[in-house]
Amino acid sequence: MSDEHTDHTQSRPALAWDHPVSILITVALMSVFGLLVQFGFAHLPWFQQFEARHGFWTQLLCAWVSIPLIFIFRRRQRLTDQLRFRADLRAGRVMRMSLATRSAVMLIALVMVVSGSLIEHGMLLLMLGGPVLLLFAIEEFNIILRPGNSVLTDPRDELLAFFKARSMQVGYAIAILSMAVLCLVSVFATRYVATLLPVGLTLSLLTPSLFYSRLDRRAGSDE
Amino acid sequence: MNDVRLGNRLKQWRDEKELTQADLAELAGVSRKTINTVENSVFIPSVQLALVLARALGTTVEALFHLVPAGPKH
Repeated sequence: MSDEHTDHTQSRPALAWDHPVSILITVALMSVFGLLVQFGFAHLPWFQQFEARHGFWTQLLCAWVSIPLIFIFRRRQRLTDQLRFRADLRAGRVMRMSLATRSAVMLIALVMVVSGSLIEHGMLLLMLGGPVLLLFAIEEFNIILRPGNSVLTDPRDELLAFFKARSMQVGYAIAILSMAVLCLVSVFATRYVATLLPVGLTLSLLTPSLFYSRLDRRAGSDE
Repeated sequence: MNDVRLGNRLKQWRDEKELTQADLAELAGVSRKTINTVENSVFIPSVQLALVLARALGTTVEALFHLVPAGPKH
């Protein structure tokens, strides 16, 4: 019928990087390649114009160009790691990041985005906090759709489906409420809408996750 | 429908068979949390799960589940 995947003794976090040396080598290769790309492009007129106009973004462009390197170098190692990761996923040994950590990261990113949009020279805060907030928002949405500690959830688990429905109900209510508040704010103080939007997003995602956690904890209480 | 709710005698049957929630969970192939929530009327199981639980306890669904007048839960 169903099963829970919470009590595995050999569980490990989903984002565990077991090979720091491998990561260092890849990053070093990417940096060298990025510099080579920048050096090569430096002779092209359109690139010179782009560099003159945007400066910092040139480095970022070169870094992005060098990303395909990950898929070229150390291919065998990467494929082995992927196979091992899939086996761990199927066996339920891969754990999700804890709700406490996810919440902390999202709240820090939210503070950065909100303060970045309010203060005069807050572009750096927005640039740092914005992508982190969006990334964690996507992940949180994914977790709400597939709750539980295990990354691969059992679709036949009735209790999980029941808890998921309850927590999604809460998230939906919070999202509607947030939109109603944003509508009201847009009537009286339009300039605060952009600031409040990420707050509504964070609340709509974290509240159902907290609610699910509460339901799950109560269900697991001793007989 | 509104004036009744689902009651269960899961705990009585479990005690009679000297099974813990974990034992019954293993017999039925579900998590201990599922047994705990069904026992405490937090979660209403599907017909399929009710039949599986009844079979695991060697009884019938009717003996395990019954309708009680709606009111405050005990």
